[in-house]
Amino acid sequence: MKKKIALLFISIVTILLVFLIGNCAIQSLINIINNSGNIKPPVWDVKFRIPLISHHITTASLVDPDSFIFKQMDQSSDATFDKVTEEDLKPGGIYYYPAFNNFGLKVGDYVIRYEKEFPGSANFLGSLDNSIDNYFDANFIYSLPCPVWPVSSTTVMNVTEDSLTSIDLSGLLLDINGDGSRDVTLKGIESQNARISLRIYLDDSGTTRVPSASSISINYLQIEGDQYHFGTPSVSSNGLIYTSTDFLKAPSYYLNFGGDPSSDFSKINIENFNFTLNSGSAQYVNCTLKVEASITFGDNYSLKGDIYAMSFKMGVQPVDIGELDPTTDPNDSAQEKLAAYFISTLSMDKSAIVFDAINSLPLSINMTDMFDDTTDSVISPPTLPSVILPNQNGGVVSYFDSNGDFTSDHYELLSFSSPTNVIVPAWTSGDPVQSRTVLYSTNSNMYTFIEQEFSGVLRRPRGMFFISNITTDPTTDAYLGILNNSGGLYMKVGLYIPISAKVVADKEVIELLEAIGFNEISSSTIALDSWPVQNINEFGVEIKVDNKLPLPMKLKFKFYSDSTTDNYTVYLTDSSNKNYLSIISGSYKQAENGEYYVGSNSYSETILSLKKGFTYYKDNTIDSYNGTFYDFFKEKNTLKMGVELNLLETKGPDGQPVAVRFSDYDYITITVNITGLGTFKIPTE
Amino acid sequence: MKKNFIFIILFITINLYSLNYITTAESLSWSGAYTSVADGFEAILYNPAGLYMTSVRYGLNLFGNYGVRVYTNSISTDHVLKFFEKGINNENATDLFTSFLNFMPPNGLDTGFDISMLNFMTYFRLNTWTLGVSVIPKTSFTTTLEKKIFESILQNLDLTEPVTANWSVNFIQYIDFSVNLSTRAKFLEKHLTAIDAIYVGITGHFYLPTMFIRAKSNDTSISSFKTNSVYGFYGYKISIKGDAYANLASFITEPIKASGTMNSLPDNGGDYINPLINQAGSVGFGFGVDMGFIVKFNRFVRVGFAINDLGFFVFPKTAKLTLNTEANLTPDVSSDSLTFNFDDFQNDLTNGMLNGLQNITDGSVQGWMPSTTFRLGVAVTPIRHKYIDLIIAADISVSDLNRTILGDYATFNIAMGVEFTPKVNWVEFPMRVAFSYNTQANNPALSFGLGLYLGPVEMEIAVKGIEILITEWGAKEVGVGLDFKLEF
Repeated sequence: MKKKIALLFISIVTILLVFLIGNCAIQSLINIINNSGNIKPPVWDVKFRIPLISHHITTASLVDPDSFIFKQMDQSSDATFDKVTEEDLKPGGIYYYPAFNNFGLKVGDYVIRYEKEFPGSANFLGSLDNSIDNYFDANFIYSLPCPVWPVSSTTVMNVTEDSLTSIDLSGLLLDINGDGSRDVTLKGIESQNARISLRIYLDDSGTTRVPSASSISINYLQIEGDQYHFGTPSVSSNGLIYTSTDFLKAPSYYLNFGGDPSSDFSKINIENFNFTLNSGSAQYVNCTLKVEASITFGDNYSLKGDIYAMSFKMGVQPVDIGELDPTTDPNDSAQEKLAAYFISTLSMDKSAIVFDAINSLPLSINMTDMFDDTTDSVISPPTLPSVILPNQNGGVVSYFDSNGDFTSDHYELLSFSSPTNVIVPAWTSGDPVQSRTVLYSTNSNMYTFIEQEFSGVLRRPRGMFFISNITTDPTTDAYLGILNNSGGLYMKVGLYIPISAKVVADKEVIELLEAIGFNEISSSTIALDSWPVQNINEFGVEIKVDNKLPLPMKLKFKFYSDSTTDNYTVYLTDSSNKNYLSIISGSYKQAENGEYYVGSNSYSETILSLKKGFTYYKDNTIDSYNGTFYDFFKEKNTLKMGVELNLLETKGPDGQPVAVRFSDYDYITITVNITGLGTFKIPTE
Repeated sequence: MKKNFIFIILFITINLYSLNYITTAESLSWSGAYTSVADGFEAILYNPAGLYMTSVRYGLNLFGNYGVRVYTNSISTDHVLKFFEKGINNENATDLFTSFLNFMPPNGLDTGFDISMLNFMTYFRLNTWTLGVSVIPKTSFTTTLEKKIFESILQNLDLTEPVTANWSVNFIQYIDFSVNLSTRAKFLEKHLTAIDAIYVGITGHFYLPTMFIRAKSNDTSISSFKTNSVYGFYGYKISIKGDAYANLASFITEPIKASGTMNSLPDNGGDYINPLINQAGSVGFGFGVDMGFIVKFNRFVRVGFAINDLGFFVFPKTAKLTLNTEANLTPDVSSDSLTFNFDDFQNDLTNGMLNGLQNITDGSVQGWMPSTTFRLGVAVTPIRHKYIDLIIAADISVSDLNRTILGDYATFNIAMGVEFTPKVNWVEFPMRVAFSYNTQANNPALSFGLGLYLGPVEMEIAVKGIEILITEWGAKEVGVGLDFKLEF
């Protein structure tokens, strides 16, 4: 037993000695002590993944008033951006037009709208209404000196026309077409809501005294042959207020300005004012009784009169649509080029010229000659179209710059494909007449009007001109409706462009980061020496693109030099680097030249990593660099970071180019993370 | 200098640790394997039942016990040696760090340091019972740092998601006054005739804490964030947030305040320490109990079980330190170029941490518990000879249960050892070898001890962690102990 125990103990000791002698760490310790002068922390490799950039761009942000593209488009004062609402597509809505499938719009879509109002007629009767209200407001019609008030004995007063003030109408300028001349001879007013108010008070040496309601009774007021009566007055600090009870009441509701025996339409004659002064104890002495009248005709009334022949002169109304032309100048800023790049993809497929009219004049307006493919205007781009004379033929013209020299040299007249009369109906009664005429690609030459191909280049107009000179015939005893304080002839033409894109062929490459004003990274400005990095053996980018835009695109990520000092480019996405490109993960799809392909309405995610020995372009010649990209960066010190973008053709199922619509729900999110495998070190001062 | 000040504090913070099995050199040499069934001074410390089993009548650790212990749960001495060797040889240390991380448990880095000294223990045996008395300063300091931060720095730095670096700190230092009573349970022995003897014991503790700190992070991380840059650039942020409760014994803080010592600290260090001293001073206290029994089946085999330090602490007044530091590294794009300002970043981080030391409020009453331990051991003494004694022992225990309060893990330990004692008359020369593994250091360990008994005078030395000499193994726990005691 004792032998066994001793054997066990000896075995344990032996095993320990073998360990100690065979793999002794003392040798390591001695080695370290002997090299204590060279002691330093070792380096180690770390995979890294650092978020660098994340951009979430929505369609809404692109057309936000602060966005660059919006500002660029908004340089045209005639242009507005509009987001389509549900109400817009219902009857009465601005984009309700079933004949053209509501312009192909749905809720959330965006529209660029250019609009131009016809001059002269816009809201004419609305302003006339204010004029009439002001004209009939607070007219003194009668004054009576009173030595004592109330009078000592009851007296009936019957004041005839000679003592009353008449309302002179000659000062009302009834200018419908805005040419500065009278267009109407007024004969009367028809209103179901008209009333006369009389304010009666005492002027006591400049001080307003309110007589007692019992001290005076109004029997009637006779205007243009009709007597009107008044109820019990209300008492205010300004006097007694009497309101008519039967002014312009049934059956005619009509005030005939020529109702007096002389049939004089130039003034409203107040023929007789009959009232009773009741006696009472004297309150005031040496004061003046004053009677002041106000006439209102309500929200809806009609003016009757004889309308002269009129000419509505639009002349030549230019609409600035030059921003639709994507032509850029080499001197343009990068941002202007970027905006032009995207604007150039705008599809004109659903563009339409909309002619809206709201009429409460008894006149029908024939606009047919504006859209009949002829004009009397002399059109010779780049000169503005000439002004036409009355009764001459108008038109709608677009000017093109066919060769991109920023000078218009070609024009197109807008016209219906088949003869179509564009007539604004005359108003007779009730609500104003509304009419809408739309010219679009299938009923007119809209497509060539708004877009034409010249020498293989698709171009949009640099200007659009509305030319019109409409003359109307005279009419007699016609009514002009004033409805809810507005009315007249309101005519407006507009160009509606639903925002959609169509790329008929792959677009040219554009440098995105340069366009937004950033691209340079310097090893000194990012304090590279402060990072605990000795080298980066693999350097790459992790790209996540969530493209909910309806546009396919190709992206190229690159680093390049300032061409003024050197000329080299390192493409992260390039077929020449495929041997050094490590596609670590993701749905990366390489285009024919190694670009990063992102389909429309798709999500892609990948990591591209550049290994040691990558290739690069120097003076357009492929060369290779034996070190890591990190070495390259430190060697060059300053590099520009670039993202090349080119939009790809938008194709339908049949392979043909199609327009793709932008809506409020579209967005693109681009996330870029820096990834790689680096050799790290412990920072030492 | 501010940065150096923080570094010193951090260094102290992460390098103190609780004491396990190293209160005496003898227990250190056993790696705890013999503690559940030991007699003498080890019985006072680990199982009160063993004190009556002691063969001598009196004991006094005349010159005390001394021990030093350093450990981590992840970094072995082999790692450290290779780290320096690779630096000298300009070699890449990736594989070394991978090995280091493979050893690191999921809860992260656990590291510590402890010194044991100035212990006073004595006992004397009467006819039917033994009385022991001890006054032992105890220090327990634990820290953990989440593994993810090491993985991020050493293997895979991914800032697309926040890298959390949660940490916790628990420090308590107290004086343990204990009274031990031990006897034989003869009323049980009557019913268990097959058993030679049953020893039972109980110890009462009064704890007088001198310092207590309990801290835990609530958001410490490295992360990225989107900036207001129109280019969509990310910025990077370090966030260090957490709460700490601290108590300092009034009998320490009051003299310090009266002396104004802190005001003379360099770099205005007093500005940071004085608020803590003013707010944290009070007298805490605690009570605890040990219980245990040892069953001696025959002259060869005995089994022991003990519970130690089952009790509590109360701190009537504490200071609450709230650390809320954020430092942002924000890219600036100007003149078409990208710029990072590292100076601002470093200043924000340093000043934020220093300001946190001054952000002190009333932490009210706090409670804590000592490092409660459960032990079960067995010892076999196959040889008791005139010239040779041989003891083989094994022990299993779970300790540091108080760490579970902070969400950390308790420590499990298994140990086996052999003591071989040649002896001639009144001279004995015990030699011990033990193997142990505990979840705290997470590394198999070997210990070795030698003793020299000259009559009543006993001297011991012990070393734990001799695997330090074996390459590809290395030690994660190193302890050295020294005893000088009288037993007669």
